[in-house]
Amino acid sequence: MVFSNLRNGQLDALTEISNIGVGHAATALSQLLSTSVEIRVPKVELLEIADVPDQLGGDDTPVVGMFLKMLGDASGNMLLIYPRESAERMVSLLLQKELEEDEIFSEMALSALKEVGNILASAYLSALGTMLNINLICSTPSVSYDMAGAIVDYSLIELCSSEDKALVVETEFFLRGDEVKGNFFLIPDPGSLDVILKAAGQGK
Amino acid sequence: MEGDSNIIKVKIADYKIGTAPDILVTKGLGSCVGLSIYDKETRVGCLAHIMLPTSNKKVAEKFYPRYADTAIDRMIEMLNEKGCTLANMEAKMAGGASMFPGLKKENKGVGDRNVEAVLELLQRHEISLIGSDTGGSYGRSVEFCTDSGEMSIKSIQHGILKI
Repeated sequence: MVFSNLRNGQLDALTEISNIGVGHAATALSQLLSTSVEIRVPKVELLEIADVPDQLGGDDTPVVGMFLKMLGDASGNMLLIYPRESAERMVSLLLQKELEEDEIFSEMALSALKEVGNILASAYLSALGTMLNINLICSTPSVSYDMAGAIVDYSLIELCSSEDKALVVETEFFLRGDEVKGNFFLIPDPGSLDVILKAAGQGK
Repeated sequence: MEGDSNIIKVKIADYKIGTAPDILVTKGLGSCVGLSIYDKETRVGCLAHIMLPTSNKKVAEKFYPRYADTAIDRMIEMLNEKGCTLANMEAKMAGGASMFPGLKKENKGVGDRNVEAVLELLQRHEISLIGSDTGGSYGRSVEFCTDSGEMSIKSIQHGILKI
């Protein structure tokens, strides 16, 4: 499947599937932190590869980024991007204590962040997998505090050997107003899009 | 000086050429490589934001900047068109990191492969590499000053490095 050949109906189906997936992820996060979590309806966009870093908040904006791979019947890359203050707030909610300066880079804080990433991604993929009746799992997360462009470029490198554009499913989520906000991105591999669309009854 | 200079932005998988006092800028290099080729006589420079080592197959011209091999060939051509000669060309590069070292095995260290490919290609074209800052597990932003030929590399953890 070449991304640019996607029909409107297929884009709508992807939005709907993601909406349900992200809804499950938000429920999981809400239970973990005992607080309400709000999500935006996902945006499914076909972007020029060169424009993806801007979508993530600017190519040299420092962000806390987490990278996970989607594996199983369909593959792709998932990214969770938080502004630094949001990541700190989230960890402080989880560990139930105020963080000291730079404590966000401690083993404990990073491990807590990875755990959240893992729960979000697993909930998302398990909802997707159940709905589509395919098997989806996620890799263990890797985390980094760096420029948004540098964090996303690995995901784009894989794409750009075969594709012209990137299909990006983006969802913004908020906790307690906007005390904590983050963005969830799914960048499916081109070959896997067929699998997802076929399972959703939107094949060619 | 900066007041009069024209700042030219180079996006991911792109290259741009500039003449003194232009400043060529590319941001957020992870495993990608920022490569400058500069002619100190004519003070014309070209900066690329390269994603992969080789194109493997024939690619459309708009994808040339993605790959080290096609990018370097085209950069030399562009510089020649501006009256530069190969003998005067010097290169500098930055980037080629492994942002998530845990994944290095899986992606066969695309950052390392990018750096190796650029080194080999520069050698083949007999262009000397006079400065580089590569590897590690952090992102870099690059500013290349066509007036002085200086490359200034910024990272979150290590501040600014000039080569």
